[in-house]
Amino acid sequence: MSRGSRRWAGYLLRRVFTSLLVILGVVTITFVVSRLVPSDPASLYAGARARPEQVEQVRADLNLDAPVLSQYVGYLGDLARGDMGISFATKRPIAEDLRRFLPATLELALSATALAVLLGVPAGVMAASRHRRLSDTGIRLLAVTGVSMPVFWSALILQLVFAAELGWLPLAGRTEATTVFAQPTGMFVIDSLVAGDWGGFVDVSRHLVMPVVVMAAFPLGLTIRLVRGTMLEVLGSDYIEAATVARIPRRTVLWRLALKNALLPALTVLGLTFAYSISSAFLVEAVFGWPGLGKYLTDAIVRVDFPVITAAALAITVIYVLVNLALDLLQARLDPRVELA
Amino acid sequence: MGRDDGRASTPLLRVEDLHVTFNPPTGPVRAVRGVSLELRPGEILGVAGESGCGKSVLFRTLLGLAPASASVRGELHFEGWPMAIDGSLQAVAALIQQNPGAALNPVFTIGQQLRLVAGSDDPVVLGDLLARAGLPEPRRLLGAYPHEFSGGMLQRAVIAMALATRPRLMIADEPTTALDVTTQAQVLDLIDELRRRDGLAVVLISHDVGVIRRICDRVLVLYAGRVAETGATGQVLENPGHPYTRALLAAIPRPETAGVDLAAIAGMVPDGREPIAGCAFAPRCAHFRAECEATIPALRLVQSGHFAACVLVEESP
Ligand SMILES: Nc1ncnc2c1ncn2[C@@H]1O[C@H](COP(=O)(O)OP(=O)(O)O)[C@@H](O)[C@H]1O
Ligand SMILES: [Mg+2]
Repeated sequence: MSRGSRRWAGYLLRRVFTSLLVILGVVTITFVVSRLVPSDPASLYAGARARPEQVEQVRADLNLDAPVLSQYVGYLGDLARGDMGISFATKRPIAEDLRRFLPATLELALSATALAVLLGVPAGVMAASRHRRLSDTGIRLLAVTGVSMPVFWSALILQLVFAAELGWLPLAGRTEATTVFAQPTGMFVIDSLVAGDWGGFVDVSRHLVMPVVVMAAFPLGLTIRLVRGTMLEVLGSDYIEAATVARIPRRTVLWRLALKNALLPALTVLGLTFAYSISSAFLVEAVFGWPGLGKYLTDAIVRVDFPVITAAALAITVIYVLVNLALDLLQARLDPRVELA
Repeated sequence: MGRDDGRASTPLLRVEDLHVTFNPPTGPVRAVRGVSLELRPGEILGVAGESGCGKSVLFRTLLGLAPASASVRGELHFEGWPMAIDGSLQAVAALIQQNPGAALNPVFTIGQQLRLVAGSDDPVVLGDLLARAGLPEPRRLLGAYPHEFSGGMLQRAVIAMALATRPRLMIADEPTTALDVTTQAQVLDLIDELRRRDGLAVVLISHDVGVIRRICDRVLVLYAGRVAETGATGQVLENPGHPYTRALLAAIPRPETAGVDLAAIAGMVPDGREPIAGCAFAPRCAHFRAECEATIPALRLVQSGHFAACVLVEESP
């Protein structure tokens, strides 16, 4: 009656396969939108201020005179080789830029989500277990503040207090200029640890604190509200009442039993908050001079750098699909009621 | 029935003049208005009455499940010892809820849940609990999740969970209402067997007089938060002293009248918001007289061990 590992492996393969299909679909849509919909894709790609010879260059690069099918196959082949084209504004390979900027944003989003979950889940459980008492009200207030405080405002206050006034934390940036260590992942916290560069790790962490706190505020508030809500529902259920009457200690009931019930419906939203924080990072990155995807993309949008915009959209979509896949697998792993079909 | 022989043994459980009042913002609701009862060792006490009469509130309060805002007063004695009225029964009693499908945690295996309650990891001990609840292949079932069980198996697993707390008495609140007829009979037989084999005392709450007739030694009929009638099952069902009990009996379908539309009792149970001066059943009673509204009728002796709270009962000397 337990979930057979063969059935599990089959489920995993099927889900990975459908995710790949979704990614292929998105790639195809990107292709259609960028090459077939515009009347003259070359001039669109080259940008509004491009000279005629630049437009012709793009036409040749993108193979736009060839039949559609061969264009499509070429496009897929390029992507498979990790070639996402050339930025028209900077003439740099886009894939290379993404490898530099995406990890910076991932580092922010992962840290912010971790902070939100590690603080938000216990806070939500505590609020629910003290329903309508003072600590519940306090935690709810915190949650409302978290979700309603605008990023630019909280960032400014933190910068004023902790950087300008107290001087405890650096105002902006990812590192001091002097920091050097190998960057295999591009996430400096990990890279500095891997390199065994303790000074670098402290420096990188100090730079990370304020942007992560600012970025975590919304998901933290959301997590608290979500977990508090699902937890209240679970605590009112028959099976929790039965566990209570059976004199299972309150702490066990809350943290070992009810929490699992309450987290399952919250999981999807938490995962999507993570994915969303990647595409919405630009404000935090702008305020803290963080060289991430948001900043890269904002620059591209301002310059109407179409190849970069397309590539970044594709990257973000792939991240969404992967996060969704991870959530589905986790859900199926934790919830025995999920059909592995 | 044989068990109601008037021996002067200490009752397992004695409740004296229990009152439970809820205090919602809309004003107080008097759900239980002075109930006294006794449960003897190894006895099955049936608790009958229409929906909304206070059956669940009465026993859930004793188990500590009344909301903190409710006012509770009365006395509780367990084996002659006084105990706190609002929850100390939890230490010796188990609860079987009405809906077995909701009573087990859906994301843990039966074994995981049983382990927590029993405080033992030994699969022999855990399997034995399932076996006592009449589940076949108990060792294999330990790894199963609740959604893999049928309704009858679920209720057996719930009963196993209850047995794991080593209870002295079991409070079963409509344990068979959510089950089909065949499974109903099997679960009732299981409860009866637990009483016979382990000497477990049982409170069986049911609005279905047929269920009560089947296994209960004594019966307590509640109406609007008060005891309308109590006595040995045979006495009460064959010779009811209270018009409400008679109406309840008339409302159950029997084999010989199957198919005939048996009118439910006209009118509704008062909901505990308005004060009730006299007999709560008076507005619905066919034998209504002026004195019914004057004072709350006390329990009168119908025959040895059988009482009814109705002015019509001629007390035998
Ligand atoms: N938490 C509560 N707040 C207010 N009224 C309640 C509450 N719980 C039960 N009641 C009322 O108490 C009365 C008795 O309910 P209950 O004991 O559940 O009836 P039953 O005999 O069907 O088990 C009903 O009128 C019900 O509406
Ligand atoms: Mg009830």
